[in-house]
Amino acid sequence: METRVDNERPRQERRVAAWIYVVINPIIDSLERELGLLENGKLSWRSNTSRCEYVRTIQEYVDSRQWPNYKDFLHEKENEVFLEAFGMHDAELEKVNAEAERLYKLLLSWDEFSRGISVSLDRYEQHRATQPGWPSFYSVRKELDQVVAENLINNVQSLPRHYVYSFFWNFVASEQLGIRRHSEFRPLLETQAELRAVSSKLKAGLEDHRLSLSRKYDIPAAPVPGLQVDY
Amino acid sequence: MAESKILLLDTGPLRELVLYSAVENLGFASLKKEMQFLQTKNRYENLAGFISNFRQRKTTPHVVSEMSSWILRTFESGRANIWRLVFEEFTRMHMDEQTIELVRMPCESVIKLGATDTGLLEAASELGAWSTTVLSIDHALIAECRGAGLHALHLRDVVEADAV
Repeated sequence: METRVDNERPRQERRVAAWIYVVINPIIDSLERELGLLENGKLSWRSNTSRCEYVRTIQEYVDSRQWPNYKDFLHEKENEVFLEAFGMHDAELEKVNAEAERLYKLLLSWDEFSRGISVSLDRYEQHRATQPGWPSFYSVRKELDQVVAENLINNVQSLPRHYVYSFFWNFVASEQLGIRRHSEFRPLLETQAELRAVSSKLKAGLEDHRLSLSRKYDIPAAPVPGLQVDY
Repeated sequence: MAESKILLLDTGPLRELVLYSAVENLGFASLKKEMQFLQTKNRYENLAGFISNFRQRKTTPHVVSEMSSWILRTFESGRANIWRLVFEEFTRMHMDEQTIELVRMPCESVIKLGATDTGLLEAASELGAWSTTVLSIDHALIAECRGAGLHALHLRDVVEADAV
């Protein structure tokens, strides 16, 4: 019987293993975390950088030392569909960041918002008189507007007690969070939902693609200690 | 409530705070096994409550350097997020750093304890023995602090307290 030599078999398993282990898997893991945050409205948007801290562009989900593998992944025809999908994700994220920025500026320029915080602050300070050790926030009145605006955008329900603003925020959060029902929040919530839909689809697409690459090149979906990919 | 007191944090408690946040807020479930003291929400809240009793929270650049070394050693992937969490913890708890230069440290103490522990000891002395509490998971450092008349606590005793 003649031994069959499979000359057709593509000899690029190492590259494909690199795509799976340092590109696809970290992106899937990051999208999983991103979806968890978005599900609860926890954007982690920061006013000092005008962007979400833990929701990032797809390339940023890959370790920067592996960016050559990321670019290699996107160069190949069999992966090219993801060039567009990654772009869609990043475009949606940009919209979220822009909406958060717009809303933040709007809140800070909105007299009613500031007056509401003053009312909450007075109520807090009155209550504080009966609570030994609670700090006063009168001296940081302006910062309070910024902290509250950021917490509203990020849907922060409560802060850990060791965070400096936790005393105030945990006292007023329930009344302040009601502002999120205002129509001005709608565009942010909509873009957030759109990003979530795109991310969810992208994650599913990457999982399917990983499965097809694993089957085609006989590469496990994650490195197995002691099991080397046959080159 | 210790109105004017200072809490001086060693690497261990800071590492635990970052790990807790990584697991609970960002979903890094695999890091749960790295946590030694904050495996439950109750323990975390005990620590947060304890820290909140101090108006000033400080550490030293040597501790930051140890955190950096730990991150480089431990996280092959996801390192960026861990650093972001460190920045967040420092920013939100208004962490300050007390600098003690190496040449100001007693050489014999550095030989015995290393620069990080000696830096903490010196920082605590400089900030005032009566107003400063050192929080650590290092029994040797705690013993040294107590021997020098400084107030030092082990993280376990703080998180296992029934009520803080």
